[in-house]
Amino acid sequence: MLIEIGRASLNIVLVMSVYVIVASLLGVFKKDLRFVASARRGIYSIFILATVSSAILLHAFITNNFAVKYVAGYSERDLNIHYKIAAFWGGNDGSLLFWIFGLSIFAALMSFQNRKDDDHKFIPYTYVVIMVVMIFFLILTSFITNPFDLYPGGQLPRDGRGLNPMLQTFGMMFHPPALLWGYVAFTIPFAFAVAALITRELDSTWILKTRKWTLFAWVLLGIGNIMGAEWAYDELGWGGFWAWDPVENASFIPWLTATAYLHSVMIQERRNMLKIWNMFLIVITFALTIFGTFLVRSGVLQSVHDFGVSEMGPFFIVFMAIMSAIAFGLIIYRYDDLKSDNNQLESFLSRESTFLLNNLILLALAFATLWGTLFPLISEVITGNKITVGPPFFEQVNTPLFLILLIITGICPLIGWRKASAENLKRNFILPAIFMVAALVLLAALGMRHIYAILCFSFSSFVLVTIFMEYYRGIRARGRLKGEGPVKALAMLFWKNKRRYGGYFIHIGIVLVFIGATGSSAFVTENAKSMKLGESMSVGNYTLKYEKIKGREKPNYEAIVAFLSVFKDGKKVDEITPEKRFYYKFPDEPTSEVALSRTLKEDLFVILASFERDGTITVKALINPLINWMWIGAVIAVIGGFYVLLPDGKKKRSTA
Amino acid sequence: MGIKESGVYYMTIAELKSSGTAMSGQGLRVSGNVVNGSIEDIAKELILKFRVKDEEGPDNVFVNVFYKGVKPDSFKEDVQVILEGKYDSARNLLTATTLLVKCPSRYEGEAPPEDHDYSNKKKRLEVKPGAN
Repeated sequence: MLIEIGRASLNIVLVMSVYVIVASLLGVFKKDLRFVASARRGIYSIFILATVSSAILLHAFITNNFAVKYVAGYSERDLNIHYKIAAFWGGNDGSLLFWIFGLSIFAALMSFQNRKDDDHKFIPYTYVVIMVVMIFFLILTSFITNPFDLYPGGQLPRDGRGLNPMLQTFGMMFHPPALLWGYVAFTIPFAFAVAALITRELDSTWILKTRKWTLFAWVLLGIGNIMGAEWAYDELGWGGFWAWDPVENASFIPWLTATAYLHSVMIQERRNMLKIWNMFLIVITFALTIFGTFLVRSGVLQSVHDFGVSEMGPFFIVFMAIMSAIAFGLIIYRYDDLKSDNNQLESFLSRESTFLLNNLILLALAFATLWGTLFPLISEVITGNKITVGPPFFEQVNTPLFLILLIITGICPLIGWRKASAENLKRNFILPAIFMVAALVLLAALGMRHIYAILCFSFSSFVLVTIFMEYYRGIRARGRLKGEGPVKALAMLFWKNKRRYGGYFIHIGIVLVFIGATGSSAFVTENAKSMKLGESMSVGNYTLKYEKIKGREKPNYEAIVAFLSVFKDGKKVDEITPEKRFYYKFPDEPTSEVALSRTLKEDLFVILASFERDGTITVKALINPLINWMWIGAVIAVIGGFYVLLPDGKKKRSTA
Repeated sequence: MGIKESGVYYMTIAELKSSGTAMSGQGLRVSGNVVNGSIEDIAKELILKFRVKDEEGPDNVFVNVFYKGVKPDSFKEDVQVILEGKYDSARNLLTATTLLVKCPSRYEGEAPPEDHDYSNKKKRLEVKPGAN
């Protein structure tokens, strides 16, 4: 019964979405605001219905309703309760419903925000665009993979198939939802862009109205990416966090273009430039989110983790093609209106031009990553041979680009808008440059020979010094003008100019991510050894002693746990327990649970590779320097992101 | 840029076999199925030897694989693997530096899951240190 309500709600959402489109268009053409208001209320009702639908599917998971195919396919009685919740987005059907649920929330929020603006010309069109996207996903769930489908003849299996062991991990709770809702949230700025094109309202209004939305989507997508990296590190057990796998690249590419967009809109806001470029960026970002979904689900590319391969790939590619064709068509149609007024770059030494360079680098990164990801398909078409490129390609091409991006992050805030003077440059650059050179010399003197790592660390110190200088100057200025003490001045800086000082805070986080990523990829030490009870192995200056081995039973799996003592320079520092798990529902897929001994300096990463009946175990151990700074940096960037999302307050944004 | 040095040819077993010496010493990525009964697991030295064939291909068209490293979790007979390494056509031997196991796609048919009995599950996990 409940299930039928869930299914029906989803069907009504489909009807309502069509209604919202019709009402919005009637509102426009009959110039009658009552229709627009009705469309808005339609969106609210969609939100309620989608919530009901999602709640019912969640309820089915929690109550083990295995009559529902999707629940039986991704859950089991003995599954831990939080994984039952996470199983909601464990497969295609549920993740599509989760997508719809997210879009319904964002659409309702957005239309509520703009409830006083029914008369604004482009608002009804934003509703139309959002509902077109909604309908696409509804068609998939209603007619192709309906999460509420039951087994024929009312069969009720005693138990479900269980959730893939690799998904039974902490990361599963947050990685997919953040990624999916990050994708979804880009629909809002995309809708505003298209609406602005249709109505020819091409000033910065649409950008200002979607500023927070874009940032929100960017933060979510960032969380999704970094949680994915954390998951790969923790669960996949090969020691790294990023393999440049197509599925990983699929979510990284739109994040890069979105990062470019976040920066370039500032130029449009301030100088009324780059209108076409911004349109292009948001359209391409939206298209890439759909394309990413296509890559993940279609199985056209060889990926190690294709959990959700389905027949739906073609739908996504067609949808993406249609939406981008319409959007790009509109951009071309409005080309004359979009051509910026007489605003031109006045100097290469200006903040505008560093922003442009930042954009070019981000786009180059996105393009190189896309190129490498699609290369097997491209090469097959052109040469007949399928040629794949692995991590070496991405590292070769992307590392220099990343380094340029890093140094621009430092240079950009030091350069004034319009035109920087020599005096300005001298005053701003000396101190950071000293630190950068000092770091470079110091690292080289200490014997570091990895050129990219040396550059990354010294550029990072450059950037961090510039950021601290910015804070320091702000504090000093407030102290002089308002007589505030340093702590209050810092707090007021953050409070009064969230985007600027919160933005710098995000930069600190990103720099730390760079440092962690570099340390852990450039300086890995590893060793593997097979040991009998009581034997030891060494890796770097750690020694691992094999103390004992034990079986362990849990409701849905059992595990073999190896107990190892960790000695560093002869002193015992930790005890760790790598294990191998055998999930009853997946007898052919044992999974290794990595054991970590974490410090800020480095991680000791230990995998129980295999064990014999006589108790002999084979252990692989790695030392990953600095990796925890990556997670710390990510947390800082996310906090900064959410902080900038706070309301700006009544005061007009200062133009420092 | 980059692709020349770091790109690898992606081939099936049949394609590799029929390439003669053309692919000798080249960076390769090969996918195939592990031949039943061909696995030689020298765990103590972290060495795996086995044969791979095309999923649909005949059993006698195979390539010998030598891999030194940690055995992936789900590696066993008849699974699909992706290998990266260099091929020596004279010895029909692929020395693999990377061994990835592709997870089988989920079965999501019309039929409900069957009931299984897991009462004999524990036997496999018995470990007796020092028993040998």
